[in-house]
Amino acid sequence: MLRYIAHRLLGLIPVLIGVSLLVFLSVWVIPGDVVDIMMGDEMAQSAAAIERLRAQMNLDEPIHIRYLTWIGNVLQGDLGVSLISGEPVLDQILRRAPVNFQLMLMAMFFIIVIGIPLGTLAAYKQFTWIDNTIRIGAIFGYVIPNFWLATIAVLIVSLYFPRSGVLHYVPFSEDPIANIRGLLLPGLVLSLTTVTYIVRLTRATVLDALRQDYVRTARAKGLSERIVMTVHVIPNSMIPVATVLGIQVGVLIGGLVLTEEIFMLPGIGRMILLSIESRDFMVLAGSILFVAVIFVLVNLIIDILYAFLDPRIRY
Amino acid sequence: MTERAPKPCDSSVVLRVRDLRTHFFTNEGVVKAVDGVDFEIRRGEILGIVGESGSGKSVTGLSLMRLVASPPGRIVSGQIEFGGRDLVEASTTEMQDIRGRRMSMIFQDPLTSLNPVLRIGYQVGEVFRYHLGLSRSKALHRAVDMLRATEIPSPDRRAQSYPYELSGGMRQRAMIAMALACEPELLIADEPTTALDVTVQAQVLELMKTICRERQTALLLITHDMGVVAHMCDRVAVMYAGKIVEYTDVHTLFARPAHPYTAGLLRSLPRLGAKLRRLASLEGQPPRLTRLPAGCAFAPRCPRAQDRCREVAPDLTRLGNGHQFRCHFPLENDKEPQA
Repeated sequence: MLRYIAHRLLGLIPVLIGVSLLVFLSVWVIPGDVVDIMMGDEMAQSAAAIERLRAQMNLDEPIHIRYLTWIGNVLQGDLGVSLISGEPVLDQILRRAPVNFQLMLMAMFFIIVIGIPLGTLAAYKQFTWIDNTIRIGAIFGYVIPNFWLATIAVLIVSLYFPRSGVLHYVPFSEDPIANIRGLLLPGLVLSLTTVTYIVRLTRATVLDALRQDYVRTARAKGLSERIVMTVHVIPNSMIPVATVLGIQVGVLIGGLVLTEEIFMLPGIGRMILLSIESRDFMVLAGSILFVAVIFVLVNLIIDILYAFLDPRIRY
Repeated sequence: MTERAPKPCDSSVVLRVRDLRTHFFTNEGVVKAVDGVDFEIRRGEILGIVGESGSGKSVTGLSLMRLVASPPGRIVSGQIEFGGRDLVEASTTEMQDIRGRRMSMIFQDPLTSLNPVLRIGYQVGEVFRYHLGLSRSKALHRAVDMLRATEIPSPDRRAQSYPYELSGGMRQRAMIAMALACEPELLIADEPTTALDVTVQAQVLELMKTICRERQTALLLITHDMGVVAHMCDRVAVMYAGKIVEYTDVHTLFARPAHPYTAGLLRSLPRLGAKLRRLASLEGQPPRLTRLPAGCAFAPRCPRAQDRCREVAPDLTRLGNGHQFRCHFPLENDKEPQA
């Protein structure tokens, strides 16, 4: 097991090199740079000043030199400073990451406590009205776009419950209860698509498990339906669900630009968006690299969890 | 033969099945998988149910356990008398109490029949935990004892193994341990050795026979293998298209089969010492159970079939020695006087 983890961690290196290269190249192909944005109309006036500024920021060097300098610093734990505000990129990330982490936990909570039980129930009551209702509901939930639902939620809350405090983000350190209250709605909205997907996936895997011979054996042993379901059916059907949940953890931490925008949450998604607008490639590269590392690490953790869910997998 | 002849009303009867009918209601019509089956089995007796795939033998076993998938399957009529109770009428909780404690079942493929993510010891121990209310550790202890009783080497270690870590024969031994843990009165074994190597087959069969004899457990052995029947069974029921077509003790069955279908099955067996020639095989396929012929279901494949066979389904003929069969024109090699 330890060898496997070490192996996987080593495997991260090429992945992260690839990601960092892609990030860097994509910043490079965006027309214009931070200096263009900063100087605006004054640009034509003092070409010499602009060149000086570019040189200060090392923007005049060739792309590969800039990349190597950057990656060299990253490897020493230095993600650089924002080209606009001068604040260290790592500080910005660490200030904003808890929002995303909390949001992910909140959404995961809804996904697990709503999605898995509903999917299991639908499978257990296959072809009854319960199953049909859940399935139709899941399709509706799946086709409703997140940004639309988020907008409607904000609209309804601000029109009818303006004092509820549901739309105000407060950092956890200031007021934990207000913090959770403020993340409830974004978490719920964010979870919807995945909930419906997990419902359908769980239904399929539970149905598959119910057809297995070992379930017949469990019944032949005289176990009650509750034990058959909780001990024999559900653990086996959770193996594929865990994979999808793992990927979702990465997605939820990484790219929530729309949800963050609509609910005005100070998360990493907005930071990425702002850095693109201002061509602040230091912030952009750093935050995308951070998201990529989180994504890859979460998948590693899921792979390790696999071994506990399914003993046939041994590394 | 006379010393084996069963007394008609025996108090040691563990299970008596009367006119059992299990039908499946499918889109293509009603499949009469089991269609009027009668038999009984005594303490410590081994009864074989033989037949081709689709003859209804497995559904018979599942019906006894009330494990037929519903829908589409349903026991439409009949009685299953077991422990002074008609199981057809029993509630789900009553059945849960009986299954695994008083009546157990093992299945064809021991790999898929064991839960892949749970340890063997846990799976055997479950029976003790839920039927005898033992704690998890005590149940595990008893499970190890059961594994030892089924001659699994180093049972302590094996109890900690997962099914995929065991060989086929070992897995089936674990299934047997699980089934016999609560010393049931009846064990139903559905093709227990079909998925195993030939050498392992013999060992597993021998083990089942020994344990059942020792504990006086009745064994209902479902198989398609006449060799297994000859080796194991006291009495045999031959099934065809959902009905028992011949029912007798194993010696009579092999020496003087009455039904042409039984005779056909026996002819397809290789015999030691016989001249080497092509084995006879039964022509044709078993009938589709949604479209059974009006008369005898075997008539289309029967070398002795006459017009009457195609028109009237034969009733049960009972001979004095307990030999029963459903045939208008039985093979005449039964020398005993007719009742």
